[in-house]
Amino acid sequence: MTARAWLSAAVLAIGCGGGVTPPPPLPDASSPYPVEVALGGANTDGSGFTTLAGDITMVSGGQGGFHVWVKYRVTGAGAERVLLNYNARRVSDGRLILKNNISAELGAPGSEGYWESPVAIPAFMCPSPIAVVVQDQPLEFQLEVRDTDGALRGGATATFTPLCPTDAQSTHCVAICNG
Amino acid sequence: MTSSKLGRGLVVAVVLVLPLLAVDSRDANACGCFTPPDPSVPIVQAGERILFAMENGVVTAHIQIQYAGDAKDFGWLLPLPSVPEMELGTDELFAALTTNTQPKYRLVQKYDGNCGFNPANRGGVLSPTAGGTGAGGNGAADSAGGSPLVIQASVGPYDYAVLKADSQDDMLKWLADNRYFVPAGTDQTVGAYIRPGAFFLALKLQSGKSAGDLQPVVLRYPADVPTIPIVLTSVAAQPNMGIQVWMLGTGRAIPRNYYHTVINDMAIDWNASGANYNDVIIQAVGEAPQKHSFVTEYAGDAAVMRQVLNRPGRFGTQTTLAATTDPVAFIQYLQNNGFGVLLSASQFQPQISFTFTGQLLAILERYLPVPAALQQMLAAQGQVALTTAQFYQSITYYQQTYPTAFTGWPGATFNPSAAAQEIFDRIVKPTLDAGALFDKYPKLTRLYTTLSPLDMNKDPAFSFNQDLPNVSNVHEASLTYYCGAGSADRATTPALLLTEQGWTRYFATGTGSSVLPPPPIGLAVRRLEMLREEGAPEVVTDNPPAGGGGCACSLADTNRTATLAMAGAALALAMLSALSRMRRRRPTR
Repeated sequence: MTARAWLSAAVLAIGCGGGVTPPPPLPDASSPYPVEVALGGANTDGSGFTTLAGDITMVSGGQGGFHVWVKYRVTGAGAERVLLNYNARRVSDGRLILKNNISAELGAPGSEGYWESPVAIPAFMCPSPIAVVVQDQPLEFQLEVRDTDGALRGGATATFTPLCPTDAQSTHCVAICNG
Repeated sequence: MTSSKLGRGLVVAVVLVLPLLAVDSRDANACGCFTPPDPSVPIVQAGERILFAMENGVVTAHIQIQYAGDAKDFGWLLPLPSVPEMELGTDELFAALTTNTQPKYRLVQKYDGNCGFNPANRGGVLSPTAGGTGAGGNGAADSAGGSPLVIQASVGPYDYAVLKADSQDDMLKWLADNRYFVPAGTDQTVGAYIRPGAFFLALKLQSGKSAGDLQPVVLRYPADVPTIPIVLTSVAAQPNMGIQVWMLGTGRAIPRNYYHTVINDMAIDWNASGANYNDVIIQAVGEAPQKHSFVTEYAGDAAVMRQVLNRPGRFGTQTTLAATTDPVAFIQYLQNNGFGVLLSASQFQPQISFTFTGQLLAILERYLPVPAALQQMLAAQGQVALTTAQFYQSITYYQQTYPTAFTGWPGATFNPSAAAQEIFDRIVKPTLDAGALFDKYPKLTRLYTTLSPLDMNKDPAFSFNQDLPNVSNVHEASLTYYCGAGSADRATTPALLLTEQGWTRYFATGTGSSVLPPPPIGLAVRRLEMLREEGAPEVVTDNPPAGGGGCACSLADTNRTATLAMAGAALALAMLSALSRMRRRRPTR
């Protein structure tokens, strides 16, 4: 494909506002300390490190909302403070579902060679953004690890489909996860 | 928990989420006062005020609680995603936030030509209603067959409990057994918040405390986004209940799952400084789907609140205050060290006064009550009884005028050290802590909406968008009189109103007896939008001024015909007026 064709495809994709799946974040070329990041899910109570892919049943939060637990493992970093930027977009059209920036204290890697977040991040899904359907929609979750000065160290993406629980919360979940 | 039990007992005000309660809107002023109704009747909640600050996955919520019934009848319940940290807050925070971010609507009058009624020509100064220049603006165990109790403690005037929300029955039973009231209807709405791992915070006033002791609470809890559990509030709300939210963060705050409305400023009563503002808001948000929409009233630098609460040197020192054994000097120390505050009576019509806060008054009332002898002397003179606020505000006067009334006052009950300790714990620390928030966050956003109980079916959640522009709380329109060669009568002089959004309203034969007739009845919505966490607003409905800044054609203006016919005439008049001035100037060249 020629450069013009690439450009045309990019313009079309942007113009349509959909179908764009950003590539996994890569460390800055200038970053002297790149890290490897792996994303995972968690059990309903936030424990464990499960596969973050495919259908994921959302977990109800304390104030009536629903979230997906996200955990992460970092390889190549020491005990240090970093910034975590994460977002989730609908795969179908790139629509932003959530966006957040937090700081985190990484620990020293264990015998496995990586450090694992002890607490899961509650990736907030519902109430979904106004007029945006989240339930049963494939989402791409992206996590970036940055230095405290903002330099990208590494990142990872995961694609999953949030589902409403089938228990007593089902009706409420459907009501607030469909925009 | 039975109704009869509740009816006899405590009850009655559960303010689910936070609240300014009021049965009678006339009482819903600074304190949002209300008298507890029969528990079978939904509690009427006049509004909610809350400040959220978001940092690092932790929500800090300052929640204002206002209530004026019997202290034993007060109760408060809030669902939370985790066990919160809890501290005392301050009402002064909300008074200052209200004042400093208040929407203001100003009408500026301009004079084109030789207007005999131009104050600049006559040296006169006109009041806004009489035709002045600038109307000015108004400016937070074990459930498996066991107790759901997680924490039970006290802070300030409150006893509180954090309960597991695993089981609705267990939680409600514990609340009833421990004299925390839940109003009728709560059991139908609380279900959405009952789940494993969730919690409820319940508050009540300690025995011996009065409703005047109520003060805001500050809660900190991990959460991805701040939300208001408005569905739970619906059992205790009144029609068109105001919900005021301030957000601190690094960007402009947005309603995540509610629409966003920009009101039509032609609907504003400019001549009355926007006195109909709340009515416009009610109409405007009522036009959004499900009536779910917020208005951004201010978005900008948090500097508008910096050093407002925590200005250097404010409050003096606890040591000095504790050493002030003379009761009058004790009060004077408070007066001289910034304990008096500006309080606003309502969010739209601030009634400015410089006084001690209700919390401080409640503390002082216990240590330094109004001398009974003074009240008796005043009564003997046919004067009404002094309020505590009046007494402390003018204590020097009363001591000098009625010295015998102060003999032996306040007796052995005055303990300046204990009073100073309580004042610094309950007033100074919360105020300074609240003030420090504005040093920490760069952006402050003020959002407002009104909701009726039937529409309280979706909890609003909030987020940020760093791409959105600031929103000023100060708005201005101009009213230009076209006097031509000469006009002495304002009432009959052609005039043109030009609003900030570009709407025009032409008064071909003058504005009549008033400076500006009431706004036309018509659209209250300028734009209905959806705000995202990135990018520009997505416009759902757009009602721009016709002709790109022309006449108010879409409005049912009482002068509509004239408006349509004379829109062009305004320009012609302006040209004529300019020509007239040129002609008059020629001889002077």
